[in-house]
Amino acid sequence: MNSDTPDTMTGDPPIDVGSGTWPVVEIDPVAKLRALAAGIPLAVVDEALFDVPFERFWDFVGDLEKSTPRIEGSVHGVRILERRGDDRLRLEIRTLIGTRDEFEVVLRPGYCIMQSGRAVVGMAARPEGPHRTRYFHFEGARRFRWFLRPILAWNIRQDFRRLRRLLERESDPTGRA
Amino acid sequence: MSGSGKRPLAPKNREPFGPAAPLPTMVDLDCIRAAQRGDLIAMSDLMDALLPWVGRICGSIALDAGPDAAQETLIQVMRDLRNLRDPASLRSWVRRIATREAIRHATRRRREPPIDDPDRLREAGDPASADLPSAGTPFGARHASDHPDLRHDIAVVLGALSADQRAILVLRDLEGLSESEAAKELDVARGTIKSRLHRAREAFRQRWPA
Repeated sequence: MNSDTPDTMTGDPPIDVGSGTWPVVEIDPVAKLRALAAGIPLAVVDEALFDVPFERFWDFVGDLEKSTPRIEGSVHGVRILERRGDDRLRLEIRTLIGTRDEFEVVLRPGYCIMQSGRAVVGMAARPEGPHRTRYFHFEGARRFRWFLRPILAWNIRQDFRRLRRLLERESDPTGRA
Repeated sequence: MSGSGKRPLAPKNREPFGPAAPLPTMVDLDCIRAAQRGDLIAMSDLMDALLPWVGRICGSIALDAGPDAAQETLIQVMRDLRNLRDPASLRSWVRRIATREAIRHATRRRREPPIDDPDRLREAGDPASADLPSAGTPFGARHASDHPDLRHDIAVVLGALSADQRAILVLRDLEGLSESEAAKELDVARGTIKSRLHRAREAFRQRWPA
């Protein structure tokens, strides 16, 4: 330990209540992603409440192959190329104009980050009571950040609208929502 | 050890909480450097590694305000990570941010009444307070391994101390810093650290006696 041990320096022994007993706080996925977004230069962030239970919300959003083409207007298809461990993926995303981009992904309940050579994306959700979900989303460009920032911001607003409509439709058994 | 005789004090030359918690081995310098370059996956891995440790510093100093303090700490760390010149100094850099944020949030929250103060709960007739330690009410030494509520009880005792006292206990008895290191961390004179530590330990033991 240190050269000036507690006993010798103050004359009284250290507090010993056993290891691992001090209070610990945990950070939920939304708080974690907020912190992560703070480290992405010129990242565009957005956050909203959805009137959907967390489990149903993440069942939909976390199914990247199915949900991403429906939420992201510019995406034509998503294919999982590789699964590594419990939470790592490699994805290929094809856009409507025919370009392809490969993403490294970390996917856990309520938490997803994606990174390619061109872009970074983060999605996180946490329950707000039994019937609502808080959703946080960020996107950032690797290059031309100033130029692409307003486009990303507009894109995220559109994604949120689409996501809200899709979730309403999913929860309406008649499919008319 | 539970409930019988005196609580054994840490023998000299033994670290009170075992070795100061190391960062998980997955946080090697390559991961830190990749995170500094803006690699999102490395940033996420780094945050995963820091979270339990930051959560313990903030939880022990800021108590109820711990989640806010921890989030603010991580925001600052992620925002300023690329400016950290020496990746090897990550641990002390993060600890300094966490300690200051925890004290700041705890001081702000102090204006509100502590919800877990056992004496206040007893006065209010809260039945859940029946088994909480109270100032001057010894209940013997216990360890987390034989009492699942120990962490909560410790939080209650810590709640009776000031944020500055909790901070010095965390830095000295939990993190294992020397007095000079703790003084630097808290930006106060070494003599102040010594007297503050003595008062903090005394205050803790009054509520958590052997």
